[in-house]
Amino acid sequence: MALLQIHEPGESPDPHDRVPAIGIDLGTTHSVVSILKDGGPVSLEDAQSRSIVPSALYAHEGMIAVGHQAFELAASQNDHPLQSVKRMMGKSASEAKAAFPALATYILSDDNHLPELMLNGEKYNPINLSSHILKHLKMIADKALDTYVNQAVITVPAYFDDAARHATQQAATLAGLEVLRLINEPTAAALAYGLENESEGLYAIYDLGGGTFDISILNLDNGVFQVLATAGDTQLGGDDVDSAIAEYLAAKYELHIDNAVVTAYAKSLKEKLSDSEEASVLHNDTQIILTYEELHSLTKTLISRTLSICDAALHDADVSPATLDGVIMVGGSTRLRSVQNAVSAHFDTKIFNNLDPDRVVSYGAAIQAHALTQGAEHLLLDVTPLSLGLETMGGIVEKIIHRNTPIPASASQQFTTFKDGQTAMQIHVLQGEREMVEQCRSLAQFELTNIPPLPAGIARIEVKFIIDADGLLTVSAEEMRTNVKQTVTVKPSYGLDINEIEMMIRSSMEHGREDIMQRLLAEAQTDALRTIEETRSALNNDMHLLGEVEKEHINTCIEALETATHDKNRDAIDEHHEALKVAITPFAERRMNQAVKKALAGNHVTDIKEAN
Amino acid sequence: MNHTYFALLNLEEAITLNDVDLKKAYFKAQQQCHPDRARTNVQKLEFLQLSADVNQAYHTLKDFASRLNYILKLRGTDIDGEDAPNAPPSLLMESMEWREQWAACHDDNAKTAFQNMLDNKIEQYKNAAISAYKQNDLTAMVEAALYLRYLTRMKEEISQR
Repeated sequence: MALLQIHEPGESPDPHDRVPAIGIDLGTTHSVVSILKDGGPVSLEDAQSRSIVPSALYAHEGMIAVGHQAFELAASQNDHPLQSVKRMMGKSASEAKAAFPALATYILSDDNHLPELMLNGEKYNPINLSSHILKHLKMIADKALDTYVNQAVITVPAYFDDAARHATQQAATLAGLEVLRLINEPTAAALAYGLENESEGLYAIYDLGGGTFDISILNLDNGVFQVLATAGDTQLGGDDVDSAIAEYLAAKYELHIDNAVVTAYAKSLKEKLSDSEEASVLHNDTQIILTYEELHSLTKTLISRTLSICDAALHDADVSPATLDGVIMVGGSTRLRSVQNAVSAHFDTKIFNNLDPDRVVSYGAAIQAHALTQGAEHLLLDVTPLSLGLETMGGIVEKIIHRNTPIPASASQQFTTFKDGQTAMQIHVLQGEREMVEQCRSLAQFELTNIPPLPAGIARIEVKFIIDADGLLTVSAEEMRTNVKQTVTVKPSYGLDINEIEMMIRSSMEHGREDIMQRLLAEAQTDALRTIEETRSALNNDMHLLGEVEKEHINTCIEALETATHDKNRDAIDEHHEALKVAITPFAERRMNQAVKKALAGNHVTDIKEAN
Repeated sequence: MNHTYFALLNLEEAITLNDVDLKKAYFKAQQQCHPDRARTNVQKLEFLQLSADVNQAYHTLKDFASRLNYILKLRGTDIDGEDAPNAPPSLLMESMEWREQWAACHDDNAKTAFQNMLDNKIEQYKNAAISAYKQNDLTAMVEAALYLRYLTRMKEEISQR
């Protein structure tokens, strides 16, 4: 057998030769990376066995911490990490500010360009921030699989428009990941459920996440997942429930404190109420109480909004709720009892929620990643969520491809010149359902040039649109009478152009080594601080388990490690971290024994004292 | 395009198509030419257009009226085009009468009766189109297509109210 095999570009080599392709759920509040292993999807874990990664970022001294580390680093600076970057994807600065006021303080500009964010003195944009999250997920996968992954299926809300999809793809490119496919989150969830249960029939997928809501109506028939219609709102999710609760609590208890703190209380109360009638948290000396009744009335508006979006999707799919075989519940916010009750009352059909709503989307992505690299029987047929149109005379949008058209979709439209000898023409592409240009989202504007000079009305310019399976649009144009062809590179209105991406990739390669060293240092620092903190808390609780000499030795080790962490010397950090771990091993064993005894003896304090 | 929508779905041209068979043919075609089935990047680009055409073919052939219009287009008569044939005077007269009848429907019973009348007419012109197709009578096919267009438009208009 040949040692080196040469493949056609894009062709799959033998399964056992290749690095697995990963599936990524890049969520508003958290993200998950999964792969298909032994025929089933599994989520990958970091060194601390955590697979649900907060989509949080914290900039500190020129570098960026992601996920749990972002929270830890922010806490050590008495600060909060940046969250919900996804809400800004594909948006201009002014749109992003208007859509999500909580992010407004970070956004520098207020115009029609890509938002610029200032985080601790460094400038970022939503695309490179998302790429940091993707890099972090890639790193988790690299470590978990002991390889370097480079291909991924990434999920996006079904209702994401072209600009937001382009932005996601660019973020992946910046993170060094080849996007095999962008798939819609509800479709991914259906894939995970469909293959798990081998179901057939007509399903609604109700996906309420942290920041987005999607509903898809899907027909599953002989391994074909055919989406009939989709609808949604990219600015509606659990985040909004949290802010509504926070606002309510702040008013009720007259809390004049940092909004992030109240929101954290709101979140924790909301989670506690998933299986109780009343929940409370303690703020200073005040007991903050939230009842299920209160939560129910706070979520009413949001839930009824999701249900009317559901009705719109059913209407577009030409499906009556009675013919549905079930509703699949996806997204962390579907854990809310009010949501479950409202959905099952509205649809009056079987509810599927047995797969972890936080992981199921990344499971579907992993199944598709495996399918695209190693082949599969099933097929995903999705639709475009929004209509695509062109600006015509008087600022009216003429629809070229209607919403819920199956993708890939292509359409063409002929134009002519209206002046003698006209050689150029403006084309304005828009996405949305409304009639006027200003009511739709501008996707791209470009000029067709080199039209042969002909009398008015003679030239026939055919503009052709193709939406691919990822939901991404490309445009080309041709003058039909003279066959002057022109492929137009559409510069997305709110993304980066090709040159900007190339520049950013080059600069990230130039700084690559630097970045890696910084990242390793930051990880060593966080790990060290975690051990110190855990040791200190153990010392506080179980001082009696240690002799004086031992105690002193451990304290010396802690001090040395703290100094090393402060000096940012990675080798010293590793060395002292190891020393501390050795020093606390006997202590840890004694604590373990104590815990076991406690459990066996039914918690008699005297027994534990005798043991020592 | 070189292939007809029927050929793209590997079907013989026909005025009547069974929904289940058509869907099967559609899924089978997509299983073969969806970009996710491509083995090379070059093939992926070819499949992109092919798969989009298969989607368009299914969409066009799924509905009786649009299937009839497509068959007429294959025969050289584009009833959506710039040189579309004019509606016969009888159709214009009848459609004016329908509007008057609808305007005179004041209660639910009358409205339901009117809708049933429209449905019956639609069925009648579908059958007319089928027999015209079988006898290869292009003129009668065009007339049936125009009647179906007016009738379905009328039906949509009243269901929106």
